[in-house]
Amino acid sequence: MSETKFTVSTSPHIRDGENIPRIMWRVNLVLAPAAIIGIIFFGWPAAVMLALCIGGSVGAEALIRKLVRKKVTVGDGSAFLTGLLLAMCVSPMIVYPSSAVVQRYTPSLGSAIATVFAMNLYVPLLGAFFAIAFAKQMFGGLGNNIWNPALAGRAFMLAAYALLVTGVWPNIEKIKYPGREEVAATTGATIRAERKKLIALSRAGEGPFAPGAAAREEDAKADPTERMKEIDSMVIERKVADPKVKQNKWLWYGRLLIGYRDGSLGETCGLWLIIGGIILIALRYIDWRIPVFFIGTAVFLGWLLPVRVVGGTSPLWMAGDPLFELLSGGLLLGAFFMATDMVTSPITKKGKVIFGVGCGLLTALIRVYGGYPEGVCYAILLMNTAVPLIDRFTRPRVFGTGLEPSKQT
Amino acid sequence: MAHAVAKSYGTLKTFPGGVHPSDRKELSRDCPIEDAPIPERVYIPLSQHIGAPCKPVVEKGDTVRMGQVVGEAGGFVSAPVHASVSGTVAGIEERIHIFGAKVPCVVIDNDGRDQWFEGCNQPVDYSDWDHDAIRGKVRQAGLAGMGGATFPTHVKFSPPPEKPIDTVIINGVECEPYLTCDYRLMLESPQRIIDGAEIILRAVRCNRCIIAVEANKPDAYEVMREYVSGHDKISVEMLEVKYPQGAEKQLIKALLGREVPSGGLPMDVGALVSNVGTTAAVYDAVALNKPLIERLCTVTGEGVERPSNFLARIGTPLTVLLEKTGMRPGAKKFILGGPMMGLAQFTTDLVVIKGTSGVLVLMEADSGEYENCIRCGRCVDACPTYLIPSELSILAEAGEWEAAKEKNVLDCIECGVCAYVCPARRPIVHLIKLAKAELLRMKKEFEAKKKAAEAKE
Ligand code: SF4
Ligand code: SF4
Repeated sequence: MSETKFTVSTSPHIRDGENIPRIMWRVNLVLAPAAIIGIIFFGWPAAVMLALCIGGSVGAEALIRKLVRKKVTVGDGSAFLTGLLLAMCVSPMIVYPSSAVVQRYTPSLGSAIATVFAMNLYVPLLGAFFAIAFAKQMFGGLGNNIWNPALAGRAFMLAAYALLVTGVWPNIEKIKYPGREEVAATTGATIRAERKKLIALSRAGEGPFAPGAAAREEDAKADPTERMKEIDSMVIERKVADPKVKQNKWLWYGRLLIGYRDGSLGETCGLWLIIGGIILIALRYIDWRIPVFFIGTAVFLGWLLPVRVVGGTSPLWMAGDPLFELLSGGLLLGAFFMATDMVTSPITKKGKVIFGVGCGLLTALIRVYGGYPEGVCYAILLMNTAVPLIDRFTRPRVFGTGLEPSKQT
Repeated sequence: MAHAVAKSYGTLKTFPGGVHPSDRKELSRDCPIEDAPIPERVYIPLSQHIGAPCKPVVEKGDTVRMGQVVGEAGGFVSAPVHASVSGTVAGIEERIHIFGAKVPCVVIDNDGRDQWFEGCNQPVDYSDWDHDAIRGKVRQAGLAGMGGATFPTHVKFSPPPEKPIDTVIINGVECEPYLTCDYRLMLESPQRIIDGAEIILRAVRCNRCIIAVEANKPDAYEVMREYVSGHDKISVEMLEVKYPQGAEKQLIKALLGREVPSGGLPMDVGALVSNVGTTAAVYDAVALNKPLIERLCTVTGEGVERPSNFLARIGTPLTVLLEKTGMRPGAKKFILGGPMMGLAQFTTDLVVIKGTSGVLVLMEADSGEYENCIRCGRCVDACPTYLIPSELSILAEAGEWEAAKEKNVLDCIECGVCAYVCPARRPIVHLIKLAKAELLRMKKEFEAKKKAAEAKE
């Protein structure tokens, strides 16, 4: 029996069986329903976006790993997840052809290539490539990256194709797939952008708020609280066709919750994002502290922070709409699926609390005062940058150190 | 990480961190302790404990009897070794030891008569012994911690006067998966444990003793409770099931809420921890004048056909035990100790020593491949020493020994919890051990240089 060859390695000799591919594929699986619901609501452009982003990420990962002669790691599911998240945080309408493009199309190679460009099919591919090549592999691959690759990819697309990425959104009220007749299925602004625009107009006393504007009967120097309410209902008025929903705000919140609204795939189906987040917490793949503190801080500050709604009056405190803050924009996707990225969030529990609060704070500041209607992406990227610092200041007290002897008995 | 084990016992104490590996104790839990075959030849290594090795005091051709000293302690932190059979010394031979290096062993040919050395194995009236007498006897008997760490027991029993012991903890936790010999001992010889505990209380002049058992051994808990009923100094406490609760520092934290200071010993917080096996051996040594010549040892694992709990003579070749239990073909790993902290061996050509709590044969082995740390934080949450194992492993990988030291690598108890949970399958404990070894080497070099410099002056 001494002929047997035994493996000699350092303890421990058993493992709990968790591994990176299992974690990543399970997260993909948990996120998938939200993407599928997105396809149901937004139709084929969503499917095309998903395919391009995921294909682009996985392809870029395989290519780069081959080039640097390292083990090809696409099987671990992390590149897939990056692609999935990237597709979910930009507008699916990027790849939606205008009617002119459709009319120009003839079945020939030249026309097909022209259509690919006209449909911007290369944009998500570039975004995915940037995410994988520059935000992940350049740092040495999974585990070494500082920024969330998907968000870095989104930021890249936003910088390079600003109009395209922020300017066209699916208009849920008008989309009819397949056999779509409606050409003007895109809209200029999401609900967040609409609200932001209205507040700005109100402050300046312009547009619908101009003295004597047709839409208005009262004085321009309205009470800010009343004006805020008016703006909130105007958002619904402008974004919703169904008269029943217009009358009942709760129906509107319900629509936001299931994802029946304009926006990116990741803004779709907040309900599933919450369920999925809870599943990930239960699986211990994410820590509850990040989403809870992130969402809590963002919603609380979104409600609290003072906004000047009417020019010449003092800013209005506590005028935000908490449910709107929670359900609009990318907060749920960001808080449950992006800020919680293991690689780019703090490693200690205390650090996770600070990180969550920081993300929430930055999100709220950008939302309320910033130039963009949504701040989740930049908030997370900024906090990603702060992670090494947070880790340094939240080191746990080592067992048997820093305790007063008197407290020991 | 509160786990609802044995809820009927209410809220159970435990320590922060840790993991819940599947305990696999069912393989050998119900096997009563049996006498292992006594071999034709035993090999008694002269270094079986932490501390200075022994000096041989017998020569080839000498006749020895059971319990006779064959190796004298080499210093205070050392313990003598004894003949475990009666017979003739066949010589002193270098043999591979569990740490891979060779150590000298006293080889004894068994005459099959099992004759005890004079005065050994006879009831002793120790009722009027003082603590020095007890300590002396424990030292003579060659006792060393039998939970696996093999720290000489008499050293533990000699706290300096400024560090009085207020609580003696008898460790029946046996938190390593697979191992069951402590459990069997509690079921089969509870009285020896309790008598041993009383002797320890006397040796360190202490009035409180807690016997700690984990909730996955409710029957052992009940038996111990039954046997301590009526004792005013000794109590039994059931703890939540969690690895590494049997580690001294974690056990003290769980029971008393005290943290042994970094770099310190249990006596620094008024505690003494003694494994149940050691405690029974204290009784044997003092009350029966029986030196440590045999110990309980679980032979188990998926690679063993008939898992068993043996009472084996020190120096018994492991092949003798494995012949009895059978070993499955294709076994991949051969481990001395438990699966979390045990040492993997490349050969079965080894012997039972004082610290051999288990022999484990596994059918599976890791490929050894690992990935970058993905910063999942699982190791940080589980580390019972509150370290950041991921960071330590990265520093060690880069050879940044000093930086690892600053990040408290020396506080690591090598429990293996971090590597157990790591999804990147990083060999964290391996890297940590490497860093510790390098730091030790650097320290020695530094001291040698200092000495040399002083000598010059
Ligand atoms: S770092 Fe050391 S003490 Fe912490 S879990 Fe790993 S082996 Fe155990
Ligand atoms: S468990 Fe492994 S992958 Fe996770 S943080 Fe620790 S070392 Fe890194």
